[in-house]
Amino acid sequence: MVKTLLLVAGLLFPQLGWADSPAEVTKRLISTMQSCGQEFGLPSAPPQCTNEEIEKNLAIAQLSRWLMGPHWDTLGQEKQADFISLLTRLLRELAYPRASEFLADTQFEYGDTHQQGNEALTEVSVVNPDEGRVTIGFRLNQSEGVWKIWDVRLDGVSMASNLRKQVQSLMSKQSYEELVKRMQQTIANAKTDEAG
Amino acid sequence: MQKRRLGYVMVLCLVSALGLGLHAPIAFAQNGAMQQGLDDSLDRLDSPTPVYEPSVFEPFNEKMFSFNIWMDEHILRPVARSYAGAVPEPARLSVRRFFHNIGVVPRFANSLFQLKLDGAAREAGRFVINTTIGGLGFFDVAKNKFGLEISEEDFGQTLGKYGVGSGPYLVLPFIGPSTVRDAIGRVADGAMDPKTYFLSAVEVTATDAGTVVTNAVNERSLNLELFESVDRYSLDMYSAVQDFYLQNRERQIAE
Repeated sequence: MVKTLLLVAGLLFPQLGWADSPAEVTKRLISTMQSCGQEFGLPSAPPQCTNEEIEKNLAIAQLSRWLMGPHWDTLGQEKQADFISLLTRLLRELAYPRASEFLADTQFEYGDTHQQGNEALTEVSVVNPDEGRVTIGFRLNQSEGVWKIWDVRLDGVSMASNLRKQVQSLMSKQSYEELVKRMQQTIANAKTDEAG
Repeated sequence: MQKRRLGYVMVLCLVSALGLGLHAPIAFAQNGAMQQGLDDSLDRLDSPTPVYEPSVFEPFNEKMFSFNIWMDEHILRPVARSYAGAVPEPARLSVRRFFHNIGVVPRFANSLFQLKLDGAAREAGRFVINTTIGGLGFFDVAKNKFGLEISEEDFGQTLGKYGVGSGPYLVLPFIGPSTVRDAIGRVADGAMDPKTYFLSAVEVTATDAGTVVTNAVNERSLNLELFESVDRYSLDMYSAVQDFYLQNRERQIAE
């Protein structure tokens, strides 16, 4: 009974402190992906190997807004929703399967978590049998009491910043339509390569 | 190792789009060093996105970027593919180590300029060991037997260390991404090459051209598959490469 009450309270009032910490969110994402391995997305995959399960830990909507920056408000609600959906598809086709495959054979050493207000950085040292030691920084943001990952820093290079640069460049030099076209093409390329 | 590592990071930037795509070839952070903590220099999710400002050299850069891609597709990659077919990978890795070994002077000098005395000592030690018992540098005995890691410093980093701004982004023909500061740094590093003091300008140019071409073909042959997917997985390759280069240089200078 007490456990049930705590669970319900935790779900309803995560800001009271029962929500997972940045380190716990990072560990959960890694262990989910690790347990999926190459089976990610296949019918035979374990039940936790779904896109939705992974996306519980990611701040995709906030990231979409951040990527678009000053262009976000000019898009309108319909295009905003379309962009979030496209970004989600891009991640599903490009990122999750590859990450799961890589993480399947990997050992982790969890480092420090640095927190500053509603931002956090969790450091993870990865030992891959083929690739040796790799260091990764997971950036998290806390919104409504819940920590979610929005960036990964590889060797100090921010992947989200890199993607933002591409989005900003296309929006400034080309158009939203061109950006959408490129995203769709990239998704199609990933699908083709996966099938091949 | 550093070039290979940079190649991996660049490809990851482009391939993984967001970065959760931890594609298998990640050997770049083998030094085991943890990353920087959460400081004010890092972007925040609630911080405003800066307005995109193209480099003043953007029209030139885009042409040079296209030219470099064309050169790679039509000349470098086909040659590197044939070379890779003829020369086994261990031999190509030895060639890479040899070229790295003969480039010791700028690394040593710039380690000193930045008061990284440990790095300068390591470079000196590495050169002596690898040139002698490492067979002119074809084998990295200094690292494998003595644990002496490379101190990868150049004059662009030295200038950055002492507060010189990067200046506008610049794409150089044949060389690729750079900045005004790093381009000046390359010239300074070139002037530190000992052969410039005892060979004529023509001889130096001829020797350098041969070295650069051989090194480029060798490096490309070691990254054949890695680079082939870059174009397919980036939304805007030019800005992706630009951002990777600038972020990476910032990190190198901060180290």
